[in-house]
Amino acid sequence: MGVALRLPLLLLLLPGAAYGAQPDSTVTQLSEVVVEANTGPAARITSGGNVKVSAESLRYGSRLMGEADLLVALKRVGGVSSVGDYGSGLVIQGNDPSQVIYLVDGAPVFFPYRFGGVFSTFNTSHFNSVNVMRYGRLAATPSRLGAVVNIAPRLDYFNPLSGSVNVGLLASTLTVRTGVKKRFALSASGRISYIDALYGRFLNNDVNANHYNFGDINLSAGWRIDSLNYLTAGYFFNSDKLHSGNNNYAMNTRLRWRNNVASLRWTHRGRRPAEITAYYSEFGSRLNVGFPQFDVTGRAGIASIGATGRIRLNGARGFKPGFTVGGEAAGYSITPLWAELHGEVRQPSAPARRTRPYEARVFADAEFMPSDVLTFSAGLSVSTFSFRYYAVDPRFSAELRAGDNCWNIGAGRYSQYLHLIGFSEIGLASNFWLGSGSDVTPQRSWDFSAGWSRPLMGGDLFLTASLYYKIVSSQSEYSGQVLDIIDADYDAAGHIFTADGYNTGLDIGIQKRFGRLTGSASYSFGRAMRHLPGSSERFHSLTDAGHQFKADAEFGINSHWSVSASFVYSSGRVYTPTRYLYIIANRLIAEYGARNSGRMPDYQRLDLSGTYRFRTGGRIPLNHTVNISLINAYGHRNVESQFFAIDGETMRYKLYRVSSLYRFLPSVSYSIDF
Amino acid sequence: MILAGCNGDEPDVRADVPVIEAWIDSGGHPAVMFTSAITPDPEGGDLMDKMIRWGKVTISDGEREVVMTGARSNDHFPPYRYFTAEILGEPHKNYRITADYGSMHAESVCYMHEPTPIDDITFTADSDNDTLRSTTLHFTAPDDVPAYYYLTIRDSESTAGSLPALMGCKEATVAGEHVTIPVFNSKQNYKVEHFVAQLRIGQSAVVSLHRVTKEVYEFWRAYDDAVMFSENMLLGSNASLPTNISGGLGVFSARATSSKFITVK
Repeated sequence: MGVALRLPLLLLLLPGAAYGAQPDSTVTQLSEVVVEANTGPAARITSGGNVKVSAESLRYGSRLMGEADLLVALKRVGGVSSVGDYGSGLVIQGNDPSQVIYLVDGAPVFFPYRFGGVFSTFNTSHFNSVNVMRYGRLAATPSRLGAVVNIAPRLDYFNPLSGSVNVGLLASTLTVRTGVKKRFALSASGRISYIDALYGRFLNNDVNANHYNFGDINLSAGWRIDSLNYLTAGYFFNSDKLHSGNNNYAMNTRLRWRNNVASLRWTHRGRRPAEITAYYSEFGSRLNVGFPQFDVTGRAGIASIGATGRIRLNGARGFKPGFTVGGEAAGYSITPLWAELHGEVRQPSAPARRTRPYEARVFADAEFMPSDVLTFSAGLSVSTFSFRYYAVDPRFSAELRAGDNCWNIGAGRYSQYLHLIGFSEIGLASNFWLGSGSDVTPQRSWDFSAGWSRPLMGGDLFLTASLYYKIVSSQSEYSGQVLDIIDADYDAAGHIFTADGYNTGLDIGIQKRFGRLTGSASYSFGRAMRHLPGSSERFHSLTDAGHQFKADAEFGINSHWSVSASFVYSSGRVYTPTRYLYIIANRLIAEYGARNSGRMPDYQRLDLSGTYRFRTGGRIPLNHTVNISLINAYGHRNVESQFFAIDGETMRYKLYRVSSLYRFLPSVSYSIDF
Repeated sequence: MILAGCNGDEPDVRADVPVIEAWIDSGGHPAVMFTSAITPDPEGGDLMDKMIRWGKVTISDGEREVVMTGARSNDHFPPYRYFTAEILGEPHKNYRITADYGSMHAESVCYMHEPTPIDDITFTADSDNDTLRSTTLHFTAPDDVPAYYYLTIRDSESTAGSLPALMGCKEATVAGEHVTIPVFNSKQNYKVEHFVAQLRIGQSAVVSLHRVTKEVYEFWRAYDDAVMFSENMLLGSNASLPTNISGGLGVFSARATSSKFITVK
């Protein structure tokens, strides 16, 4: 018997409905029932190798630093990783975080990452689920080389008032949902952090004093026009502030970033399902490096206004194809990094070099179902970027079900016109977006994948295995120095080089989905190699994940208590090692070796969590959850960076290692659902 | 400051790589520090054994070549340098140095410009601290722009010699323009105590404005970038410094120098 969760059945059937799952007018609201089942792994691998994360399962599962986070849950899936503990961006199949597109309410979010890897910008209590499409992406998927992460809000048309309050040691969240006359639904969430107050000392060391805080707001509204037509609107805003003071240099680095996203979507669920989304999405960052007598402020940003639509013309029947067609158009305003000088340094600043490119795309997918066990799809995406660059990208996928076994293959060409580059190897917000132009051409990728899955023991166990190979080109990297930005003729685009190469790897996993004990284990191997055009010398991409072993388990002790553990052991991230050290002006200087040819020591971490739940009745029934967690339970010092310096006492050189933020970090959180 | 390897693929290394830190100032005598590069060991190691005491170091000014003499020198680290009093730095000359030891050979040629006078060095109170001053060097850009500069500072209380001032690089692009550079102390990473960039009240120092070639400027600019940001968690970079040393690493700076002795008020 699993944990007994008293949930309104209606919530399970109609949790307001992710997009494409709007409530049906014939549904009858039932009285509350008791569901005797464990919630199972929050992140589930589908038969096609894609991933679905249920926010509801997350809320009842283990938490990191008191937060149940959708993207952190994704990191527990085999083949999904991040570049170190400081960054939150996901690396999937060797694609860097900028090649993974995040769609909230159908609108792209340009930088959905926070510092420190604990939080994503997505407030779990506001959302219903996350779907990650990484295999067999059809022509309808947006112009990115990597996975598509769809994040659907939770709207509840039938419940007059529901919501949750979560109070943690890092942040607190409030979510309120309301349904009016079963036709209108509104959901509003807000989150604010106070990391410095309790965890500030963990962010500081002898040299650096760091401060970090953030906040975000989510608003979603739905109008059920009739049983076939829905109109939804969404708004999302986040603001993050990171401050790093360096005692050794009397220098302060401040980094601020924000996303501002609004969308409006019409969904038709008739015989020819259709969907049209209009959106505005904006990301801006501000990097300030302050010295006693002057400061440098670098700014960058991207804004996009666009619309996308698709319609399914007919369903597939035998060799008669079912067609889905659509298109999208977007205009951009892109400001690559530019800097202003303030203070006693008199120097003209390079002007902002804003560009206003646009992108248009049409696509068509045809699905064939020649038998009950075989399905295949073929599609074509035709796109242009400011009528300067064009792409004709074919896609193909097939799925064969033989008994319990499900086999998938996919192949396709993908194009991406936007690049994210900058100083930070771990993908912090100091990096900036750039459109394809004379200095950098569109990114391209030919993807090939194959997968297999099958359930065992009546579906309690689920096995998956998949392979991928990607031939990538025009992968951009930044070669400038920080001080370049104060040059009067600084042009960010002039410091970019591009590389070609390939990503390949495999993912093998098993999930136990039901019962008191649930969990998963996976092994992944990823290789991402690059070479400069015209050169045969290859180097690792920063997204080269190496080996990864992950395991997590959750055990429901009784109807109140559950415990969970999550373990990861993986190759350290790649980095550029020092070939030589030498002394100039009394200081140790490095001559670096082959790009990305070294690896940090292996990464390992065990997180433990215990959750106690109880319910109180009365006029307003409440579900209470208390969670205690311990991050990096055995205190392994994972190395985030390392450097050589002269030991002032011995006058010998010495290797210094900077550990991850997380070592024996306990946390507690309390949440109420109503 | 430096990301370095200790496992995984080993970088391709040579047994001996000569490293040169050399300078000749207008109106001054040349100095050459000749060492060999260290192949880093994760366990750490000695720095002194890379000092080359018995190398052959020469300098020529286009008219004559002089073999320099090695001797102990406590104002730089490692404490050994090659010098000669037979060559005096003169603007508009090309200087060539060579350094040989065993199988190692390095050489470099550098042009010396006309010095640019320092107009003034001013001090302003720091609102956050009553013991420190914001110090600014002023000069007028010459007619033959672009002109490239970097600052050095020699603290009169320190045994260390003249060292590059933090953030002291400047490119002057407009002839006759009034140019300012903030004057900070030099940052050395073997100091144990916390570094204070600003000059303190009462501090005496010799501040030198060096006009150099673009090549030399780019070296010191990259050096500044490495000093400032290689330990910065948000901005850290791992680019090697450029060099104007053929066959080795480091920099040879022929410096057109203007100096001023200051006592911070």
